[in-house]
Amino acid sequence: MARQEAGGRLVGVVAAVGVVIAGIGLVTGTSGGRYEPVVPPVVARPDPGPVPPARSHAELESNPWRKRGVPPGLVAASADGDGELAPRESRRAFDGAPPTIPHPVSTGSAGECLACHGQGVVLGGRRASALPHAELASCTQCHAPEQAGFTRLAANAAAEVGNDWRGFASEGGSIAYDGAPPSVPHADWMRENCDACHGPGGRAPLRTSHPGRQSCLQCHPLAAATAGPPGP
Amino acid sequence: MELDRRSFVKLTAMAAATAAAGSGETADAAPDPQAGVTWDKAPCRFCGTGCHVQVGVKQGRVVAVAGDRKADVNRGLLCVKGYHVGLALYGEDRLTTPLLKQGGKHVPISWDRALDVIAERILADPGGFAIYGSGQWTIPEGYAAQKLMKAGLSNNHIDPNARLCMASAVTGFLATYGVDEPAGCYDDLDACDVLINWGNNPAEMHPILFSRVIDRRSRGEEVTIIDLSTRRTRSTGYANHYLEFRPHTDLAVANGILHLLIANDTWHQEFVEQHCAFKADSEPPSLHGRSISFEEFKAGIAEWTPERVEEVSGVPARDIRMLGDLFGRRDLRITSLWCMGMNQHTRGTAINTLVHACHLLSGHFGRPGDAPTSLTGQPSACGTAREVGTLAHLLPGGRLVENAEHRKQAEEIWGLPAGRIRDKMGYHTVKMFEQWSKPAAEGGDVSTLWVQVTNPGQTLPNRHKLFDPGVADPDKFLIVSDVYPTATTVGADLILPSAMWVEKNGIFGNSERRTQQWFKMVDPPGDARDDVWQVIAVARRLHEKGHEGMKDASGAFLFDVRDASGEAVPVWDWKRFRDFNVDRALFDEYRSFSRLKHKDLAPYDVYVKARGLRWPVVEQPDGSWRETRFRFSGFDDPYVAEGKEFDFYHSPTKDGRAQIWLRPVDPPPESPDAEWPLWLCTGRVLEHWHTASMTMRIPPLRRAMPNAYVEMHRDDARSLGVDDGEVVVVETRRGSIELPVWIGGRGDPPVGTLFVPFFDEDRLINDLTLDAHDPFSKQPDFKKCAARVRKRSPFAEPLREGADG
Repeated sequence: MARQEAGGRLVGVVAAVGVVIAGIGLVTGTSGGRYEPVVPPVVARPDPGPVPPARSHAELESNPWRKRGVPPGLVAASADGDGELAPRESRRAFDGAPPTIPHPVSTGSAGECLACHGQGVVLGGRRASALPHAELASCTQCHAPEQAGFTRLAANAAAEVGNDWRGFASEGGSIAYDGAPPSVPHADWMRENCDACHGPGGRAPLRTSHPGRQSCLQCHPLAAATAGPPGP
Repeated sequence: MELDRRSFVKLTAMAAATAAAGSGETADAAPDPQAGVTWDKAPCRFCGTGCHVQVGVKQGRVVAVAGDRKADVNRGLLCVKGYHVGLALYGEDRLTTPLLKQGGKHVPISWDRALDVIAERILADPGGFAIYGSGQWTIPEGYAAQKLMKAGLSNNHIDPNARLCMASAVTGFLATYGVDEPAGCYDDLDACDVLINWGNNPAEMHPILFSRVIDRRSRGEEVTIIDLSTRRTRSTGYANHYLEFRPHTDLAVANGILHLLIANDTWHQEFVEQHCAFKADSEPPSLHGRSISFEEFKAGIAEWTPERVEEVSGVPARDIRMLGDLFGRRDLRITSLWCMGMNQHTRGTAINTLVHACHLLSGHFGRPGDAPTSLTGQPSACGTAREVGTLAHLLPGGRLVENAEHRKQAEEIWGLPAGRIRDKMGYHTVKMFEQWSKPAAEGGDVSTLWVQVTNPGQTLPNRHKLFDPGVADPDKFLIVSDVYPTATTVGADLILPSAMWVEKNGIFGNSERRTQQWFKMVDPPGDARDDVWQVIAVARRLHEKGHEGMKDASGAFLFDVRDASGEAVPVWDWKRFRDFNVDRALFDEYRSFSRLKHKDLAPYDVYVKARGLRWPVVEQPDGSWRETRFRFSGFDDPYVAEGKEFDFYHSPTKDGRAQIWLRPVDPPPESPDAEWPLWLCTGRVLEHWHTASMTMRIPPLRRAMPNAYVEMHRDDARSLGVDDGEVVVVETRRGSIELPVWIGGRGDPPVGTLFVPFFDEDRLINDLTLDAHDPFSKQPDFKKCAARVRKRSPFAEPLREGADG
């Protein structure tokens, strides 16, 4: 019972943190002068103390599947979750926007992008997410680099005009009842590969505790309204 | 324990309430299961592709945008501009109140005063009033402006910026098929085996159409992409063949294909004998030229051997043979796409007709995947400029100002007294701005110019000649309706703040004949108002001041709209404007013009339910409305006579035949020489839309492409002694600007060629461009003139230095 209450509080804390991060992301993402390499500000917060294992972690502990010895690759939620998600927010004008590219690109050909983003790479603290969508070969059609071809071009630009955009920020998934798998707070359209963000290479707060399971939508329902516009 | 529905709902509510408490909202607040975001469809605000977006609105503001999965055009995908289109509404310097120039400053005034100012200028010189409109006008906006001018003021001086954009495609279609707009559609992109881009960079300008083709490769399909261009672009990277031709010699390449089809005897004899005829230029030149025999055509095209084409164009003879062989094969489906490269061309009409000729002579026409298709750059260049006919020589529905029967039809539909519509065509864009920039004493008879939804201060060629003198002339008066300050509003005497995109109802018509409707979703800021309201309100003010033209033959107001009970609604009164769907009223009136050229439109309410429909949209016996994908093809087009495979039923020769043109290749109006040794080409980039008045205010787009540059080949840079990133002076006979050099950047021009994008209002490349234009379409050539580059004087003011500068 005590564990369930802790779980309930966690949902609240995560939601609160999510809103704050979204706000930071918006500010860093939409204001300021010419491009500076993104070093998102890490907001000082009280130490949350020991983080209880994710709900699904506990669930998995009692799973007979685990007892058969299949390595589940359990991952506990990171204590530094806020800092981990800030760059993600700063690269999106709203939840659902294609992220901008935080590094220079040269030709913009698919091959150049897929070298790292095909399967995803984590190297020296830099993370190249795997593609969440298949089949699309014109990467720079949707993803713009955060800086122009070279910085001297940017240096000659006139001052930036402000923009009062306040993009949609997801408040996270909901749970139907204590112990239920959380719903998916975004559309699955163009995000067919859940592993791209939620797999073992994903940012800690988004990472699944049970990467061995592949049929995500079997347990995690798409939340109706926050999941985006109606599909076909 | 069985969880019944009631307790499930209760638990859900508790969980949501817990989350709400954590996020700082009161726990007592009722949980909102819809999360407050409502979604509705709209076509994207930007280009002519016509993608549908889903717009997410929360608390009266656009907060998210998604590709619309129900849309045939884009199937849920967008480009980087489309994903960020919602941000275009929220730039901090939106225009929110009318501004009148007084003592050199723009001073806020009321709308009432603004309407008086406009009405007084018009009444003082009704014939000297002109409207310069836009392919971004919605169909009802363009229709209302058209009616105000041609029906109300008996004044044909109305022309859209589409004149700078696709006028040569129009004349190409008219000269070939006798009726405007592509016969094929985007479905061709799913079926073609070969895609030829004629001077076209769709990877940046029509990304959704480009990815629709290249993503087929990811699914294991084979598509051969041929990039015919004067420089390497992002599209080149995906092409199987890159064929680089010298500027202006695309006509030679097309002639080479026509020659090989005849020489190899691979032309489609059956198709040509049944459905085609031959034409050549006449003396004096005319749009429809003179008919010639096949033998004359054969003799005329004989000189264009692959070797001759190579000599003229620089494209290797073996590549011309490769093209000739492809067109000669019946087992392949070939789609050609083009846009500004062929249209912004002093031989624009000619090259358009030649590409149609390649498809007709080879029979690569009218089957899915076999199509010559022109693309438009603006969201409603087809819908508003071409179909509504907001060009100086047109009336709605493909009618001509100088055709008495057409005038009579328009007068009947509009209920005007006979003879109201003036029988002489108005000024086309270049002429309009010449007359505006010339003093009245020298015959410059345009005294008041109203610009809506466009930015000629940045886009006109040779700006110093066509725009600046009019602004400086105190007797000329410039009215500009826009949403942000631009290079045009700077010179305006009166600025009117407009509502944009989903701040108003609208209808666009895209490149593939698709008519698309959307509803207003959020309020415009401040006192910004719909462009269509502005036109109707001016008409009403003229009516109040006694202008007789503002009444129809029955004495009713020109924009008399009535609600379901037959009661007149005073839509010119802003407080009442939203009581009534003006778009529906104007569109359903405009529909009656659409039958003459078989461009049938469905009633407004049918479009409300669709993601656009491609005309002709024809009512079926069961009351449903059917769109047409392949025009002139018997299997799909309801207007093709029963049993016929193809029928060009608007043929210029009135015999069901399309015209295959023989065109000479002649030199451009200005070519590089010893003093001006470089070609200058201008164009667009992926991240910005046209003059970037919207996209420069969208941070992710602006950061990716913050200012203009000049692309040049590294050998040219070396011989000039300039470095990558160095600021140089680019100049032509008409003007000069300073730009940073970008070598091996977004595009890569060959030796002797420069490329400069035109989006940057701080670096107006159109100070340098040429106002020479095609003799038939009157479309200027922004793609080539002679230029030179020099190092900046060491005494010049240093520009702001970059971090690595």
